[in-house]
Amino acid sequence: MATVQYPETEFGDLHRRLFILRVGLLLVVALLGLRLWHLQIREGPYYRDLSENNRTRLVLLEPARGLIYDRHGVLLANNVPSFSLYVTLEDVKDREALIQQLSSLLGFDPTLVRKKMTARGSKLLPRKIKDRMTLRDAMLVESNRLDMPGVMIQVESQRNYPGGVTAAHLLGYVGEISADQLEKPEFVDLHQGSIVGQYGVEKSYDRHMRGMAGQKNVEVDALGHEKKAVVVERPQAGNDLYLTIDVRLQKVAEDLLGGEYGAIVALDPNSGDILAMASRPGFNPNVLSRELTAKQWVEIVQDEGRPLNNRASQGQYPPGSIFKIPMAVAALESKTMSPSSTVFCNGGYQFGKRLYHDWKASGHGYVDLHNALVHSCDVYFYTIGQRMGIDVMADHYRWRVSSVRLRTMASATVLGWCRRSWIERRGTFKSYRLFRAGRSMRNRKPSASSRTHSPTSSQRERRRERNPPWSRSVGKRGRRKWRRSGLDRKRTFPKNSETMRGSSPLHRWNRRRSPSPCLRNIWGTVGPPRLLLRKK
Amino acid sequence: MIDRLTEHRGLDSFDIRYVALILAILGIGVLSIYSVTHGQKGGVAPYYLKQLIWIGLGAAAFLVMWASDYHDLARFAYPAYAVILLMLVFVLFEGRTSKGAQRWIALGPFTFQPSEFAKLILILVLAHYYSKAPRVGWLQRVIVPGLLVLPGLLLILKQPDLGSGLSFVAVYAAMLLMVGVRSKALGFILLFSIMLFPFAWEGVWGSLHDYQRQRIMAFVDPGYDPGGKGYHALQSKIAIGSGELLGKGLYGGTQSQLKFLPEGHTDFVFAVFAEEWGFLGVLVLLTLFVGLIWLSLEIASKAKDQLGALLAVGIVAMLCFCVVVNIGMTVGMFPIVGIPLPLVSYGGSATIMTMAALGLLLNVKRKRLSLFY
Repeated sequence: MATVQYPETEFGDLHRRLFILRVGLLLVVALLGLRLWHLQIREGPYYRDLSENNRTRLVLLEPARGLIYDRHGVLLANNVPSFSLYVTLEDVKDREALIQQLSSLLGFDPTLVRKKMTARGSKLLPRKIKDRMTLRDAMLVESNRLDMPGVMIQVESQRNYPGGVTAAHLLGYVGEISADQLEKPEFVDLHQGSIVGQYGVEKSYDRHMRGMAGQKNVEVDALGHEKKAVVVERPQAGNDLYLTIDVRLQKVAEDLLGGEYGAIVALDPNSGDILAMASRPGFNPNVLSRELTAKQWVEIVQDEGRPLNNRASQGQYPPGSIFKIPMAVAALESKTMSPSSTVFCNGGYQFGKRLYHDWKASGHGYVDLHNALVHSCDVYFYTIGQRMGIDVMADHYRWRVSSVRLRTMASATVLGWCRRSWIERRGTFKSYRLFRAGRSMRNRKPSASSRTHSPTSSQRERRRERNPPWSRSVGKRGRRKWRRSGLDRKRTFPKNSETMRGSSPLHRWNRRRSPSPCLRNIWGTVGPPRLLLRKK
Repeated sequence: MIDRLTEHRGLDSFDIRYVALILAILGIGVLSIYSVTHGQKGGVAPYYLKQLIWIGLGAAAFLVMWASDYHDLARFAYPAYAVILLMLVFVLFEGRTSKGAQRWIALGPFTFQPSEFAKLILILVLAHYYSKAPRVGWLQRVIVPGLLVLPGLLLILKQPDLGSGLSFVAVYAAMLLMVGVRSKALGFILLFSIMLFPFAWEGVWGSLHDYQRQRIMAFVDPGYDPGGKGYHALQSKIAIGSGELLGKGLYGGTQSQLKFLPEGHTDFVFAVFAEEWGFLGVLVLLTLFVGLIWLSLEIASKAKDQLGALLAVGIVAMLCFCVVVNIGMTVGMFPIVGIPLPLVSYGGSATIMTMAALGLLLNVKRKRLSLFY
């Protein structure tokens, strides 16, 4: 590599330039040194004062979590102030004396306090010694605070469920945010120690109930006493939540279950609202929302009855068999069957080209009505359904089912076994659908359009496909059209249900046209009765 | 490599004072990082352990740079610059974002900051450019190298990484001044920049990110809003000031230990050190830095050829700039820009890059002594 010769005048005086650089460097460093001398020596005591007596820090103000009410405004979850005792070890002069003081004043267990104080952790940060103190204890500490440097009472908001175990599965519980949750995008504005819903509606509506944290600028002295606090940003309370639950009904449902394992769900057939959803065995959310000891947690998790599982939403109970009861009633009333007449069940029923299996592959043999209900024999009900025919079935369901009207809890019990997903995708809950059908027939008033020309079911079907009702509330025109069609008073549901997919004979049966004029009106609004695939 | 070492009397050039200075500064860095972070977890391993790993990698880079030949390295300056530009473009699209800036490329559990390495490569490029032929005239002296710097500078400012961008400009300016600009031309540049200032102000102020504007506002008036924008500057000043003459001792820094001072292990590590070791400690650290820069300038002035001299000057300029601006911002003389304190602040890319640069510097010295060049 050839060395390039710069003209002497320009590059040759590198040394001179470097000399200037050196002088410049020394000057700048001297300037920095002067500044540091000014900061550390001349104004050092002032800054030491600032750092020791006047530390400013930003304190987060936790927002109040939204309250939960039932449909009539009865309070299900609220926040109560709770007092926690914190100790900053750095400020404690004599640890043993403090422990003695605390135990004599408040009756704390000295060994427990000592254990918490000697646990690993920073000496400079306050550590929680006791939570959920009574107001009296908190006041006692406050009035003796000057004798106990480093001790601090913090008011914290504690979630409280006045009903205790009532609707525990539904409400869920809250807890400190976990490390995994902190990394998720939906918790991005939260920090370590935030309280979030961990189960039930507390979890699913957490975003709405959480609120926004505020900030407070606090000046504290070396003993941790707040000198001055300026609120920078007020916390915003979360939204309140009104459930469709009726807490009285919920209590009745839970009492009905008593000590049994099981679940009860009660729906309002007019709106689909869930009025009660009980699951037993339950738990106390007040306990779970507190900090649990490892032993308590293991106890709950290892419980035989799995109290943390919501049997109404997480239990796997196929819903099809509920409908065997109305089927049996219809068969008896139409005199299709007598209670003692038997059907031979060989484990399957041939319908068209396809064999529909019984849940018990070996079959139940000869079964009468009683045994069919006891063993939940599928073939028995396939048979009587076929014998009755669709018209008889529909006729009976229409007035019988509408007259049942979920009057008592008993009927709700009978009809209530279903999985949560079935309720959410309401269209697939067959018995519920038929309830709707019965009601809509009874309350039907002849509308203007139906008087001039009554559309056939297929026309309605097509119109419904073009303009699905669930999209109809969008826009003024759409709404008017929807009202004119007379369908707005009845609820119809999306046909995205599991029963509609695929093209097996069962699905084709579900999609078939109305065979009789008497059903046309019902089917026109709610669709034909459907057979459900049993999930085993 | 071994025979090259012996052949070039390499070991003679391995200046023991130089290495001792570097090790002393690194030691101070690890100590301060340990002091701030000993209470907290730093992911996979504690921060000081990770920093030790970076120093190990940096030492490897140092040795490689020292043992190679800077003429060979300069030959790869342009391709390396192209590669680093590609990386910077990649960072803009695929980079890891942290604290609002997209500066990092994720490499498994570690992240890699190309803008740090871009500085070293820029020095190589400029030194190579000026030494390849006598660059005479206004165009060749100022404009062409300016155009070389520009793409890298813009990409880095886009991230945004004001600190690295400023060091880019500083390296360019230092090189320019070393090569020499006619005083008339210098006058023109100054005049133009003053005339363009109002327009540039509009453009620059408008394009600054909110946090950058607030930092400048906080610098102009640090007293306003102590809980918000001026917080960092104020807490840093309190930390340094409260150290007084002898400091509060290891782990004694209430500012940093109580987390009043954020970023205590990275950009504000100087404040932590000043708080815990006081004015005397600071004087020792400053002396170490001045010594290191002094020795580097020595190398620059005794370099064998222009390439060596320019490389040395570029590296010294970068080092000086980072040290002065970092300390200046912690003591409240400059607005806060994200520039780490070389060899002291925690950070993998910066540590490795600085040590590689110092190795290159020693390489310049080694070549001066070599007999067979």
